[in-house]
Amino acid sequence: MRDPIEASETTPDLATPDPGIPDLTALQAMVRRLERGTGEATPAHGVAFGCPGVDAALPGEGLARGRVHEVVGETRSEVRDAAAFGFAIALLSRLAPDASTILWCARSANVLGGTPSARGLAALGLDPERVVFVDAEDEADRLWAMEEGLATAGLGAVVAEFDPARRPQATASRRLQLAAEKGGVSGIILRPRMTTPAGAGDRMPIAVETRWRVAAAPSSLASADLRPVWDVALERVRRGRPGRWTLAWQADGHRFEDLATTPANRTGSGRAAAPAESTAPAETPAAASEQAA
Amino acid sequence: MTAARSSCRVNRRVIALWLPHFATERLAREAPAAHPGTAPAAVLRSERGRQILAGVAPGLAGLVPGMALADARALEPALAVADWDSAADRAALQALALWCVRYTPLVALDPASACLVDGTGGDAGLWLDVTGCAHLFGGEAAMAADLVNRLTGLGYTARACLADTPGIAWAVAHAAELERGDVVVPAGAGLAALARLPISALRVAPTVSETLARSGLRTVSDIADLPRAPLVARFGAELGRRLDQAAGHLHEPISPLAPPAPYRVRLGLPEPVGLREDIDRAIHRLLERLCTRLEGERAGIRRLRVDFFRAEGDVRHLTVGTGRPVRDPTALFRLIAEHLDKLDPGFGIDVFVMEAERVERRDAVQTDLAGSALSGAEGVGAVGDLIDRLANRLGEDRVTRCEPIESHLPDRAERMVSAVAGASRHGAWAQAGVPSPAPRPARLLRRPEPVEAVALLPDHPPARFRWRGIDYRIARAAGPERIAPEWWAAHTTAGAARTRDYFRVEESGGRRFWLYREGLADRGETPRWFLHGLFA
Repeated sequence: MRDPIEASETTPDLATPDPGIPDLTALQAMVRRLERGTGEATPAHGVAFGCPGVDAALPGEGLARGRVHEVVGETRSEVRDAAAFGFAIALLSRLAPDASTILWCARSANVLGGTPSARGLAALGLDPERVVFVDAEDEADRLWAMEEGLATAGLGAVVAEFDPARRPQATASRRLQLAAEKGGVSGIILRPRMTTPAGAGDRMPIAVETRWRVAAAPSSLASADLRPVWDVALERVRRGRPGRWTLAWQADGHRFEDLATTPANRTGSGRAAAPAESTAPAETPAAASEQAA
Repeated sequence: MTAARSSCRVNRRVIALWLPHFATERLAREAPAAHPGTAPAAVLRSERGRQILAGVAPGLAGLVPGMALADARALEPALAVADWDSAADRAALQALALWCVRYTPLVALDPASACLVDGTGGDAGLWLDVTGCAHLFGGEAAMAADLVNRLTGLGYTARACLADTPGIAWAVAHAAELERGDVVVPAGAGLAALARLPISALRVAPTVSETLARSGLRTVSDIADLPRAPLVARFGAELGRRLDQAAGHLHEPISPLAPPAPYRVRLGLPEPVGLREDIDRAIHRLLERLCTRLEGERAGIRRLRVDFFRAEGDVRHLTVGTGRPVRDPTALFRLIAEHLDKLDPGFGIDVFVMEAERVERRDAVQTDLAGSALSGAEGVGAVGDLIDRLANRLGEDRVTRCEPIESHLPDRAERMVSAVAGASRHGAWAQAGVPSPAPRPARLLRRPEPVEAVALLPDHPPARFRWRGIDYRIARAAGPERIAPEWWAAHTTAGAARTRDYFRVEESGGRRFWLYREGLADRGETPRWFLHGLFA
């Protein structure tokens, strides 16, 4: 018996075309209806990323509002870098409507990784005035706060930081997703990588619209030194194609800049471990073309 | 009135307070302190299209209330006037009455006050039933003197008379030529004090006193002993009633000002309830009653307390607070429901008492047909509700906003303030010059951590450093940005605050850090390196 949530994800075997099925589009529409339970087939047009490469990989040509997205850091805790943190803020700046309030459910126990700095948020293009920080020690409280926020129409977005080992599981993430759909508020789950070897637990399916893995990339690729540049891997996306890009963030225009994605440019990155997404469905050209159709 | 009733009131003592120039003195009191004497000397009202003086400041000879403005200007060309605001007078008189509660809990407005009857005169009056209160103020004379002195200090011309009945006190305060502002008519001497006063002091209609005067009956003593029946037949029952009230034969009640009713509602049940649904229903009912009243008063609740009287004979409380005034029963119920889970009803709850401990003004918001707010603040209410819910469950200090502090030291350039405590200062960050040209890291370490760094030259950024057991080779660096300690800290706490040179560095893998070097080599200090923040 396949887990329904897992089935809702874009997994290679589901995407593999079966010659016995005449109309894949109709089937996909049916699956979407089952997922939503509302008959609403596709989410409204998302917020464009601004980079053609990334937008093409996302369904609806952009990042969906009113959904939960997951941002995973490359290192096993935020101790070593703030790349995933910065990327989450960049997503926020694009997802949350202008001047709307943003709820940030932080982990106060995360002493080692430091605390979000208002001036730092401003430097990334997010007005600190808009952010309401919620300090919830307990995971359950943080989940509750996130769910309440997601269900509150009028809020800009909700971000919740989670422990790698104690991130929302299937049921909790499904609740979050439903709350986000109800309130039309976008949510971001921000967490470091799992501590288990090779991040095995990371691939445990949870109900999120997209999952991004973010690592710092050398700013030599960008036009100016020491600019935020990230190596961004879209690991999981509903009805889209996973992919990997090097993106620079321009805080003043709230714009992503797609730096060249050819492997030649990536040699200087010096990343310690090869990312564990070699099984990503994007590697299957047939699947990719089917998805595009 | 029976004799028994009046005899039990034999010890009653009442102060009648008269403020003859209330309307103008109130304006003078409210005038800006920097410009004393700029307040108008007279207030005006319109009567049949004519502007007449409704009240006159003291010390203006020849000017009396009721005079036409044109006549007054003839006497006093530079007369400063203003329109009479009887509603403001009423409010001020109410406030003054509440202030008088310092003497007695029974304070009433004199119904003959100009602002209450909307008549001419600009005066106002109060009753104070001080029965049994005088000894607290050193006796009756001292009490009356204290009252008048304090009112004089507040800027009012005040005349007070303490007597057995409201009638005598009123008559003496208004009519008698007092040497001082206060007078005490001893118990039982009321009629004697009244005898020489004009009949108008009995609070009868002016037509009655004028007709009597035409017949040669001018003072109270003239009519006091006349046969009552023909007098009443000729001049009406009121004259006799006023005479009897003054003499104490007829009780004259005063209706004391009710203290503001507390925002408290109570629900008593014939049987204790313990089921959650029943408790919810009780809370709903109380909230509806409370919120209906608040709706009428255009107020909202900031803090609400519920007492649960349990059948065991003890009481449980719960308190919820909100960030802005709320009077929506649903939103308040959601806040309370958070705590109801933890409420132990025991053997049942038989009485619920709900009290709004803090109430603030809140105007109605106009909504469209779908119920959403018409003003531009769409959704703001929902977000406020959310912040309230979060703060009620997690604690007010856990739901915060960041505020700038005017300090260039990154360690203390911002602080967290409760998001509930009211609206944040808008534009505070823009005022603080944020985002500043000097980049700041996305995450700041609580405390800068020492790192082992190697720099090629003393003034250079480090070439490599070791932090938390890992070596980083630096590929790019920018800086330094020199941040000196505040001048007072630099000299008081030697060594604790030293000049820092901040560098933004990027290691070969792309991670960006904020490092600083503390101590200046040319001052003979040993430089030490610290890591302070992480750039995105």
